[in-house]
Amino acid sequence: MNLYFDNATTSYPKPKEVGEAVLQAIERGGSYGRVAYERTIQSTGIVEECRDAIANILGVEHAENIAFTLNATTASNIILQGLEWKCKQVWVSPLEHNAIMRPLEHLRQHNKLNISVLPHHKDGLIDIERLSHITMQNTDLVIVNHQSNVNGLIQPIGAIKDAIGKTPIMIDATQSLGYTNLNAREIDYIVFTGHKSLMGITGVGGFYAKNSSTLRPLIYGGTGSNSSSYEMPSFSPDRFEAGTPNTIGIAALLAAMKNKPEPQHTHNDTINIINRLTARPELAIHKAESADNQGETFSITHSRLSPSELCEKLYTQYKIETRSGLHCAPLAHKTLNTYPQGTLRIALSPYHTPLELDYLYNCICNI
Amino acid sequence: MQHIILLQNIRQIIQAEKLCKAANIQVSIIPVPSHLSSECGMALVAEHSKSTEIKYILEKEQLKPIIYER
Repeated sequence: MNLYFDNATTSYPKPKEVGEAVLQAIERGGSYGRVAYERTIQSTGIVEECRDAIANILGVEHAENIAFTLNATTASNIILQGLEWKCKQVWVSPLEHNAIMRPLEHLRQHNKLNISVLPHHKDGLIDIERLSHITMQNTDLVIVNHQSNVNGLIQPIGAIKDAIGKTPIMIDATQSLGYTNLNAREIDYIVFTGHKSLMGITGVGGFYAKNSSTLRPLIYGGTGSNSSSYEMPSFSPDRFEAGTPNTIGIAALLAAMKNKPEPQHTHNDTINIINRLTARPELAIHKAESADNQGETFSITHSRLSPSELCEKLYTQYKIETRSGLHCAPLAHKTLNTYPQGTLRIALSPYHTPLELDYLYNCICNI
Repeated sequence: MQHIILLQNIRQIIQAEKLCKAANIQVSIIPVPSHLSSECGMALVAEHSKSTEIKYILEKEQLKPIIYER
């Protein structure tokens, strides 16, 4: 039985081909570019095939505008610290993670950036009607967390984009990419990670920038291109990929995307367990108000037990793995009125069966 | 005679190799000849007779090859 319910931290298990790809990559050897022997030609080809596959998922034409990084946090730092903040104004969605909020706080302290939170409903869903009345002409960037890592709410990106018009928009797709469709053609910046819904391994993330010339690099170094110059190349992805990339992790990510598992439970099964838990008098469930906006993650608070006590009991009594606390998203918890204690988070995997969801429900009820 | 094809970066070399193979044009990846460029990356080498066709295929995909005689 799969008792791992912490897939918003990192997905587990992975498709078996992911492990095979890691082993093959280690046995094959090779790096990225720089030389012209077969093992490196192969591993370089895999990196570029993976970049093309990410472009395909995002629905963007120019895969060269996708750069690989260590993780989504590095990607968001490259964008937020690389932008020129002319108006010194950013709007953020109410469920942002600290991967966004901490770089912004750094910019607030050192560059006098003003940070405003977008109007929203009780569950953190952005209020499109109120948003459409905000004048955005002196705004540098709007940042939206596509899928919350606390209550699983999925924001309506298309409607938000329509409401803000030509104001640049950045999407944090850390939780959503691989689970939810995102038509990125109209989006200026997207950050993602490979080890959550995309089901690769840790150590690979990245970002898409529609116009990469808007960004200064954050990391400087060798790229295997323009090697006679001490300056970074002007073109993408080289401009943002100094140093040797994680070719093994990227090979694993490609294998994960090629072998995406068929979900063994339906969206209705997820909504069903959420509704059954909501009916329990001792529990408060933190979720999207509408099932249409609900992802595979939700949170629980208990009337008698703290989130950490509930987390500990689920593990020690039933071996159920979950995560308690603030989930590095204090803004989200302030929005949901679960700050500072936080919540217990349940994050499902496509491998979970309805039987395992039933088991989870029974264990929570038996605590 | 052969031709050496230089491109902007590694990604474009991989793209170009793929495009040539799809068009049944034999190309190989070699280290960038040091007398042509200070790049420490990859270049393509192809038979002289194929260079016009290669240039056409690559430019159609917005790539900008620089072609030298070997």
